Amino acid sequence: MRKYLEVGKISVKSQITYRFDVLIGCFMPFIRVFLAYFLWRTLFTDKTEMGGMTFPMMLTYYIVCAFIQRLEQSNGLVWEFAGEIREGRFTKYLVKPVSPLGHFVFTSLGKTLYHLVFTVLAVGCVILIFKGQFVGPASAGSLILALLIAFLGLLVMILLNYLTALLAFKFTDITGWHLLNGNVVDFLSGALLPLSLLPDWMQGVMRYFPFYYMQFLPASLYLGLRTQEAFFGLLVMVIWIIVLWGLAEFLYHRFRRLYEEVGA
Amino acid sequence: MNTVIQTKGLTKVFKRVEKEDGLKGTLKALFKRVIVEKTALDHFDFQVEQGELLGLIGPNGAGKTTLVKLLCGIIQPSAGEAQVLGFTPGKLKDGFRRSYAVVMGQKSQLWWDLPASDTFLLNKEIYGIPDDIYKQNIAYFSDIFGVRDLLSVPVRNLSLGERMKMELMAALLHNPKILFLDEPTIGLDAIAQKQIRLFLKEVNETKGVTIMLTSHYMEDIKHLCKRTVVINGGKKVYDGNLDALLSSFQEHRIITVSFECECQPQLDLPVEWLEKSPLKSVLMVRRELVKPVIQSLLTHYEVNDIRIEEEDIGGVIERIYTAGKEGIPL
Repeated sequence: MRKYLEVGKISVKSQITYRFDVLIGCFMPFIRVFLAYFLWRTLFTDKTEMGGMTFPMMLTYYIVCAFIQRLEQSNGLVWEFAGEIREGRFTKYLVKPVSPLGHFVFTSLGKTLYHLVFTVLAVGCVILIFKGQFVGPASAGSLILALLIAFLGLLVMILLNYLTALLAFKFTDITGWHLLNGNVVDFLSGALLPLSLLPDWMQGVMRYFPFYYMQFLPASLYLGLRTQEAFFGLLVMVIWIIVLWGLAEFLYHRFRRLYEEVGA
Repeated sequence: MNTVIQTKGLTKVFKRVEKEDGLKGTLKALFKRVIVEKTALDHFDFQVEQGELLGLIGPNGAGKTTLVKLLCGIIQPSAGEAQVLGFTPGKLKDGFRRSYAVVMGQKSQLWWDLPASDTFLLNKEIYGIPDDIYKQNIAYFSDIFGVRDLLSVPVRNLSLGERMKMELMAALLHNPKILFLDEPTIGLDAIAQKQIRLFLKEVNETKGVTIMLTSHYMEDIKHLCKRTVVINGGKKVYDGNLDALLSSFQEHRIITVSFECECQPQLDLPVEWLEKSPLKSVLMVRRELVKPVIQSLLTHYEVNDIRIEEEDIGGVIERIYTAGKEGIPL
């Protein structure tokens, strides 16, 4: 375990070189918050509630989603990892007594930790801008549950991204797949619009998939909505993590045999 | 003696997708893939004893790097088997990975944006190196290389030679039993090359690390390795003492003559004139003709000085490779 903590530490350390880029990047997801602000203000002109949410709740929903989204850093790591496989630099994971999955997870968490500092700053700015419109957490309990589920969502996302990166062993270039993946996840996780606006049967199906719990449910829990779904959500997430973890290990041991280490 | 590396019929066949040039060829390749097989290593048998410093030479694409990759378990053999320290490399058992290290001149394990010491710390945790051994090794290696004050400089600010020293340090911190080196001196200047050579010799002698080295620079091999394996076209063409090999392929001698007065030397023997100036001539002759050529020069001209040298090593190596390719026994 200590070796993976050191992996996380070195990930944080190497991030510090890119302070400027990280700072700028932290405001990116919040651009969507401004778009949402103008869109929903218009839609709310003659209504006070939509899908069980008031306008300040809706705005808060987008801010919380953007916050969670910013902390998910494994997406960018896929490019790095797949590049290492494609260009033959993956060797460094093979020759050392270290698991690439552990490496991926902790490098990703290291990045998340570092981005947290800047993202909190960005959220602070956004809250100041929308003063009076931002709703605080419904209760301490709902905040804790929201954080816990969001963290599990982060782990699922890391595993999914690791699986995507592994595909580079077989298909060499995975750009298209990864972009498609990102867009689908954005929709399914409720980052684009609250899933409560979708038909009931669709929501019913989505409850069995992890995406529902990545942003939508944590943001809803934060607002004090859907608290009765929290424990089912925890169960679903834990099951998905176990399944994806097993699949990742299985595929890695099959795919690494395809590795030819080009370029030397 | 203890055998640490052993291969039997080790073979690696790579599959490549071949594509015709031009847009048409690219479109064709999209629907129909032409797979071409290339044998990079062909029934390779050899063994290495503990504490050896073995050189592996051969032209580009001969299979040197493929052999190193197979022995490290990075790639899987197509046929045959390899045993390294009693392990099958391709299984990548943790115990195996703890007991060797590999340094590839073209690839880096150092974190680019961080000082080398951060990579060392990471390796300390990954290999579970105890504190005292870690400190001892850092002190030992940084003293031999004289890089103590470079440990805290970000890797991207180091020179190529300094970086290679750091690579070697990073690889050796966990006291590996075997060190695989693929072109460790590539692109380095003569001084850095020499330092690295001395370092490898020291590590081999004092720490007893078995070293297997591939290099394009004959100097590396000549200075370091008692035993050399020549490989060409995926096959072993020579295994033994480098000096013996070189002398059997030294077909020519270079003779430099300087004269007392200006003259135009002529010889009716088959010689190749490399330089002809009024007071000095340089000529290349076959070894068995050295004696008659010198006799003739001494009798016909006022000779001031004669120097006889061995032929340039590059030419010799070229001949060894060609012989290997044609299947002539060395």
